Amino acid sequence: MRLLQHISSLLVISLCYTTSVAQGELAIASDSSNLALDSTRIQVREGLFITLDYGKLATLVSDSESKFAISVGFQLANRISPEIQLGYASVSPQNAFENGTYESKGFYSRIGVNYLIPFDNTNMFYAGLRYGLSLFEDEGVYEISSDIFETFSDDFGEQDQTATWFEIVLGSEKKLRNEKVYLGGQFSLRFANSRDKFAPIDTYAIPGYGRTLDKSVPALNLYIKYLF
Amino acid sequence: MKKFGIILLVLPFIYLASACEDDDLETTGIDPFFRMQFINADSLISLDELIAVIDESIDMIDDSLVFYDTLNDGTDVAEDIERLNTEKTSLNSEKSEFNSIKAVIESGSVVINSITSSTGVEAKIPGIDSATIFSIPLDPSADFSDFEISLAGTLYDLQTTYTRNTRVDNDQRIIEVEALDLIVNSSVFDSLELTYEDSLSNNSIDAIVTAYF
Repeated sequence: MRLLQHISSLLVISLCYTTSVAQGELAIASDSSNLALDSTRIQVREGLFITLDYGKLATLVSDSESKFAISVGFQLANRISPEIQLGYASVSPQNAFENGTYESKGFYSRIGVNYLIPFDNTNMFYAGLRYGLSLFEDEGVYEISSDIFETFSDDFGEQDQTATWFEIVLGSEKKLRNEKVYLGGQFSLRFANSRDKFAPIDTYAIPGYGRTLDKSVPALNLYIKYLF
Repeated sequence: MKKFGIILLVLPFIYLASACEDDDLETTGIDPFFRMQFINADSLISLDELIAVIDESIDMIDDSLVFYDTLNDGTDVAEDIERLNTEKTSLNSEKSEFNSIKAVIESGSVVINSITSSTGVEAKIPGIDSATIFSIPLDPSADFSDFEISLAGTLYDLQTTYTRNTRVDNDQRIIEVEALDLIVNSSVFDSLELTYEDSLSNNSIDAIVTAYF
């Protein structure tokens, strides 16, 4: 969690850096001449796009988690950008239980909209809202050792679980040399809305959402985007 | 701006590196238990009887000393009074020694050779919470635990029943099994007393069983 906070801080710094660089470039452009304004007019390209969360691809080499997410959306000239994301996650957080193992896996989807705030024709900032839905199952095994009895072991888990949540999203992206390809990152804060609860051992992690112990969950996503 | 791109590319691998943590399970020290102390009641009774005899002897000496004090006929009783006082001192010393032994027994300081569970895997020399109170583990896989306790060369049986309750300690992230509403029985101990340190608790970890033998 501490690392995630550091990463979030890094992203915020990156966002600020992107903002300051972009604003600097804009200031220079506006100072140069009024004629230049026409040529640097900021436009939002309209079109269908897909994004791939490449940060999650790195989990394919991890033993403790495996994630994949892809989004489809449409970027409108009025700066509104509706988007839907589909993903799969299998997570086995090693700190879920000190005396047991845990795995949660399933599919999730997010639907929402971004408001685009371009700095220039290369860099863009955006803010958005999401509604998330996860259909998943979890399972685990725990052990209790004894000095004079056999080690006790028991399993637990629940099938067909459902959870929903809301997200606030802040992000930025930069157009690469290829005019249609963007590299971006976004910070989101997720707020649980509803989920199934179980006793005595409750769900620990929800694919697409994160840990259930906290009322809000921060998250970082890095993606590559192709705008048709 | 190139640095920004590099940061974005490197972040996933930093995250992955942090995810590679030690995955050894911590399964010890979380099993249910109760605490027990042992009082040698037979020895206490014997000691009380001995102390009572000494008290009677001291009373008789005191009566004799009072009697000698009342004699005013010139009889020389100085030697007798000195002898009685010496005897009284000796008896008081002996009584103090017995009272010390009694205090040790009442504190429960006894030697336990081993505790064996009838369904368990091995005998155990129990851990000592203090000089007198022993932690006895309960079987987390059953609603009962039976023991044989080797105490001062004699075997004593002990049967326990309880209600198991699984819970998660969210602070420690441990799944534990509690033993609630503990009941203890024995066919060999003279008597058993079960008390809870916290009167509102029914958890075995708050229970202290005193066995008199």
